Amino acid sequence: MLKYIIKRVCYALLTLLLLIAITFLMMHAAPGDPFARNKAITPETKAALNARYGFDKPVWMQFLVYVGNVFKGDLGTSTKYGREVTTIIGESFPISFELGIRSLIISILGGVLLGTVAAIRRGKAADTIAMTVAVIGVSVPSFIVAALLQYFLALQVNLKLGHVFFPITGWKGEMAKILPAFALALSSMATISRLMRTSMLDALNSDYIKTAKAKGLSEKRIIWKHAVRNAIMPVITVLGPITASILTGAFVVEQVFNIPGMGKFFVTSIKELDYMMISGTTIFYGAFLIIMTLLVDIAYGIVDPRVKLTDSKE
Amino acid sequence: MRKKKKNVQNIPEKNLTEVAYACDEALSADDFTWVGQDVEKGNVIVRDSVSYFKDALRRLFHDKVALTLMIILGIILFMSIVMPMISQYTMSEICDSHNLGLMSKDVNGNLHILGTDNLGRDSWTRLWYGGRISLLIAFVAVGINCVIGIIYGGISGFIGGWVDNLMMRFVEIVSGIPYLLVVILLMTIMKPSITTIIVAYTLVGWVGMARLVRGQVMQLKEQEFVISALTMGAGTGRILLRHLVPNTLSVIIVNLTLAIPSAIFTEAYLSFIGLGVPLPQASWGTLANDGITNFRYYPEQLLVPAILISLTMLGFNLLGDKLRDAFDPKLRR
Repeated sequence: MLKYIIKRVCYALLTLLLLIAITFLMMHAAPGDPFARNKAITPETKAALNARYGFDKPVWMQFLVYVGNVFKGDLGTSTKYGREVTTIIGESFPISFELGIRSLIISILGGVLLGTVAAIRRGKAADTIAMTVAVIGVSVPSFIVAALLQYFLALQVNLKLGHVFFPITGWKGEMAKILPAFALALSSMATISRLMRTSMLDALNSDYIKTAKAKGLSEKRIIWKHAVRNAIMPVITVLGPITASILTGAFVVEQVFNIPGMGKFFVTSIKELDYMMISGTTIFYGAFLIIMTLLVDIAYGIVDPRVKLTDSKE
Repeated sequence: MRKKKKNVQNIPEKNLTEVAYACDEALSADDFTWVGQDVEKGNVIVRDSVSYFKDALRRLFHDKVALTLMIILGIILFMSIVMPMISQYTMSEICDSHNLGLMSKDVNGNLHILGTDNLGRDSWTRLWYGGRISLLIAFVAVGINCVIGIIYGGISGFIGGWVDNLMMRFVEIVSGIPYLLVVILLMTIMKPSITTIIVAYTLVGWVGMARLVRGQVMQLKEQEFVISALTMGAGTGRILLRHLVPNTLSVIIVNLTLAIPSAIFTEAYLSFIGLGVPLPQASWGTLANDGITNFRYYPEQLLVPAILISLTMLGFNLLGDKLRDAFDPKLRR
């Protein structure tokens, strides 16, 4: 088990390093000169400035300094807001995190439920409906879902009934959080439900279910205690990619619903070409996702007895 | 040897079980007669032999849903290619009436099927022009991914050993990075264009295909036909291209079909956050993005491109599922 964890941690660190390298290269390739101002500066001043900020050193040394700064938690200063990138992240990330957790819960609960129902009622109407919902969910991009929900469920309902059920934008109060979380959750929910259906069908056809039936267990107990618990394993493996898609999806959903989360800052910084902000947030997001994937991998190793078994034999 | 049960056919159906039980006890060699063996008849080939691909395609074309999907996708493709050519407007031509509704005429009396956008450009023309760009990006990007993935995965799986180990470690590290982040990063430093989107997407997008092909090749290379090709002196390249790749083709085709919607999504997503094709060009993503600002008053400006994005993605997703079923030997009939 320990060997497995160490191996995963090493991969995660390498991936993170590669991401930092890409970000660093991007900063280097970015057009423009950090000291370009309206006033002309003499070559001496420029050389002094370069020396002051370490730009006279070879690229690999700059890279090492950059990596060191990142690991110290220094992501630079946003040129647009004039504040530390880490401060902005610290303020806006909790909001994005809450949105992400909400939609993660919706997508897992909804996906497992839809997939299970579809598998139990295989070939019947419930199956067809659940899978149609799933295919549509996979095929409609989250920003379109967000815009449609905003228009029909927020704007039109509010106009018709003269009462604000779902606020059109913002992040104040419980009601305002429902639509964005749902818009973000839909595609992940669809992915999970398709996966859950397949693995549930496998589980229902396996021998231990027959044994359970032969023992005379009730249908409910067989499904929830035996089948679902085994079928849910593959769902855990996709939690990493699902987190990634929810996170990147949040950029646009936050944009549509005007939620003051990190995604909105990120998209704004892209539009304003605020390179420090872009690179800082990218590294933060990347590190967050890499750590999440690592945790999921380790959790899978702990939860799935088969992985543990092979490791303890070694 | 073939033996035939005597007289079973003549018994009325309701008594069948009783008779069957009775027979169990009373059967003897006399109950059977030798009817002979027709060698000629046994050797006649009744049906044409059907190759794997023909069989899969036959099943695909017999599936009504798959056929409908292919027709819909075909129409979308056809319209995207032809409409910008035959339309009386160009995609950046501005007429004097802005934000026209559906099927309305502008001040000069020209008909606009989907109206005009907020700059007065014909929405119908821009829609299909956008489809052309979106589909072009998706097809080219997925095609390039596929080629890189096949070569990389094929080499890695075929050579095996430490080369495979090293190559797959690299794949693992690359796939650990969320690809949209990398694409966004690349897009911010490169000049926005169709090529840029394709390059940014393919730089990280080939990983999935490489993994898939490698797994397939690993499985296949131990099989007899590869060994026999090796004994006959075929080189690595020939075995890869003539034996291994064709055998993984079904998996590759299914994956290609499923990769196209994700490429369309990526393009739309990038356009939506402002990293799409440069103006005045349009893609479905940029059209949807433009439509959102006007959504409250002119919902069709968002809805139409959104429906087309979703319909195309839906079509390819479902078609991929159908193809997978058609290629699945377990489901062969």
